[in-house]
Amino acid sequence: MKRLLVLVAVLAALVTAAPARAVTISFDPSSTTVDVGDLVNIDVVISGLDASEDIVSAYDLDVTYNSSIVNATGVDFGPFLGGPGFVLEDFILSSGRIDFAAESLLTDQQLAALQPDSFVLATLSFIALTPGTTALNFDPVAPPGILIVSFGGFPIDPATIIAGTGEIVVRGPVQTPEPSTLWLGLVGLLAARELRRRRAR
Amino acid sequence: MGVLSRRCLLVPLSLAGVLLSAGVLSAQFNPIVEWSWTSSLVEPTALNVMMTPSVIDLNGDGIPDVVFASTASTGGAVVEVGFLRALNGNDGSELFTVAAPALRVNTTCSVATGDIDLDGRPEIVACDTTGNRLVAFEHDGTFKWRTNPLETINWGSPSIADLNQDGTPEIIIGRQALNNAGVLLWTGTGTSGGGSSQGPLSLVSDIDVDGSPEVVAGRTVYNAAGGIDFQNLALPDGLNAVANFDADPEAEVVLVSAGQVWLLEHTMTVIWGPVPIPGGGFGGPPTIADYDGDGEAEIGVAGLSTYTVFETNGTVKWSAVVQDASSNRTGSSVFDFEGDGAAEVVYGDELRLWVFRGTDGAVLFDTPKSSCTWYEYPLVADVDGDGSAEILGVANNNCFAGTERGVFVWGDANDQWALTRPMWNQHTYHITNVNVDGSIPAIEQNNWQVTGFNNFRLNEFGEFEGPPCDIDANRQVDRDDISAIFAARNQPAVPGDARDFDGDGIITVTDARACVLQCTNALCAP
Repeated sequence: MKRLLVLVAVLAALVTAAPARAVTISFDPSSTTVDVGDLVNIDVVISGLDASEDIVSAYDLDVTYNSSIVNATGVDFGPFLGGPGFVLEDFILSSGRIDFAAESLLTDQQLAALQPDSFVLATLSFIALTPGTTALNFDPVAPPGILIVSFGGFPIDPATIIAGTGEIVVRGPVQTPEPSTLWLGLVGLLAARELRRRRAR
Repeated sequence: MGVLSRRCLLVPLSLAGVLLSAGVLSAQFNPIVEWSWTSSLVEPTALNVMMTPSVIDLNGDGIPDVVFASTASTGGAVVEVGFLRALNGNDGSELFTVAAPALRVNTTCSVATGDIDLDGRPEIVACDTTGNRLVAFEHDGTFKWRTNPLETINWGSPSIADLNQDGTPEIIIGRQALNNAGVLLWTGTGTSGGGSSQGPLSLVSDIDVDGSPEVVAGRTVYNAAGGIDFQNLALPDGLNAVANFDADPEAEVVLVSAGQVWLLEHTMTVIWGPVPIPGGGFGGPPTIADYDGDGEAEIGVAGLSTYTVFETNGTVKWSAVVQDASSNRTGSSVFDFEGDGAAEVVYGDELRLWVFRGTDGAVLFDTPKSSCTWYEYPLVADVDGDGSAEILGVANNNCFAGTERGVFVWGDANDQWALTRPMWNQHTYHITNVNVDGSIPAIEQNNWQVTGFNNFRLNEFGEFEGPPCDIDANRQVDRDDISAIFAARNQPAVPGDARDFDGDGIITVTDARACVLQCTNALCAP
């Protein structure tokens, strides 16, 4: 009987317990392939928000990349922290690093009403420099780490934030036949044709 | 030690009164020299300082800096040629000396500092060696501009204020106003606010509460366009201070001239005076404060042989013996070191630095500090950026055989003096004329209409600290404050740094967000 009660209690707890909060920041697209010289935009998306639990009232993030493959050219900020006039925004581009931050001037209640469960924090722009693959990572170490501020001016525990990764694949130039190669091929074809005709006789 | 813990050291008003009357609290008044500047590798003989220095954060490192000029001269002239210098307020180390011969300055004229070109850094307005021109320097000492010849300046000193309230400050010297490029805007036709040929010390304040500032210069009040609003031709020219002495909202004007003191309505009609300064002398730039904690404004004036505090009604409250036969028109400043509601007098004569108890003139502290005396005075500010008040004084051996030269900072041995601003930007300083970040308010709050103020040449003390997050100390938290915090994100905080709201030693967007939630108005509007 005692075992049965424990089992019921455990099952009840499993059924009624709220799912663990999982705020995620990710890159969209998480992987993209471009050619040398191409411009590419990558969204930084936050998801898993629940307006009753979390908002984004401010954030400060660092994204690292391989600066020999691509180079960052700018940051466009999303509208969900208040838009022009109601938010402070700043970004710093340095070799292999994008440091970007935003600070909303709206109240927590206004932000809760404004923000969906998932939205774009910012769009990072790159130019492809040389063939290869660069990873995109959120830097959890460089101050202030992964800092996302929620209700009451309190940061979300970074240990509970799932930080995704991304990549940009830069293709090498496509191999196009040179004229001499074309001629050689044509001669070969003609020779093969002549050989087949002679054999047919 | 952070700001919050320092606040805990303040003695409650009621307890302070008991302790003070019992003579206990004064025993805690134990100044020590925190640092001094008495030698230099650059222009090493130029160690005589006879101006009122400026305290302001020149380079944006969060540490106040001390700006002044020094000379090698030992004369007592109206113009003493020397070099503009800046020191780190934390330890007195030199930031720069402007040594170029063409950029030497008149060291008897006190500098004014403030962000006149809106670049986020304060500029320095000094006087050049002609005795009638101003010269401006960038925050790092590079030359900015020099005016055409103006009226006589000599010991006089400029003020910085936004006369036309357009967001760009003007510079005022005597009865003349210039734009932020040093171009003359107007010259008034009345008096200039000076004593004889020593030079003018006019001030800027909206004394008639009409929403537009006036220039008060001796017996004359100019409007922002240079026209005369009020004057009293029966009075002499002289030195001024303003505050509220009665029930009406307008300020009253203190006038000191030729050994006498007057209290005037803002219209320049006489309320009382002339009242002679005991012991004679011309009389120096006056101070206004509540010296005895009675809630009323009193007046402090230095003369030839006394320092005197006058009651609100003009009667002599007390006089203390001092020695100033040379100029007999030195300034002074006031500060409530103990936070007991009664301000102490800080004054330097020819021989010593004095701190007098405001209630009765008892000597709380005195120490050797020589000067031939001009208009200068020791001031009180958070010189080293630790949040607490320090006394900043200067010394010279001009005219006679004094022994001290240079710049000296005294702090409390027990580190228990009240909190104050890291700021004192000009001779006519009155708190609301400048923000802590060095910007000049477009619309200045009237000092006497701010709770706890009603003073002149007195720095704000701890119990009247602005709200948390009020970085620019304009008594409200707004977008400017949030921007200042956000702009410093991920920088280390200095001790007592108001930008570090959570006190974790680093300024982050978390601090900025905490301050957004403290904003005075919706959406952090100014």
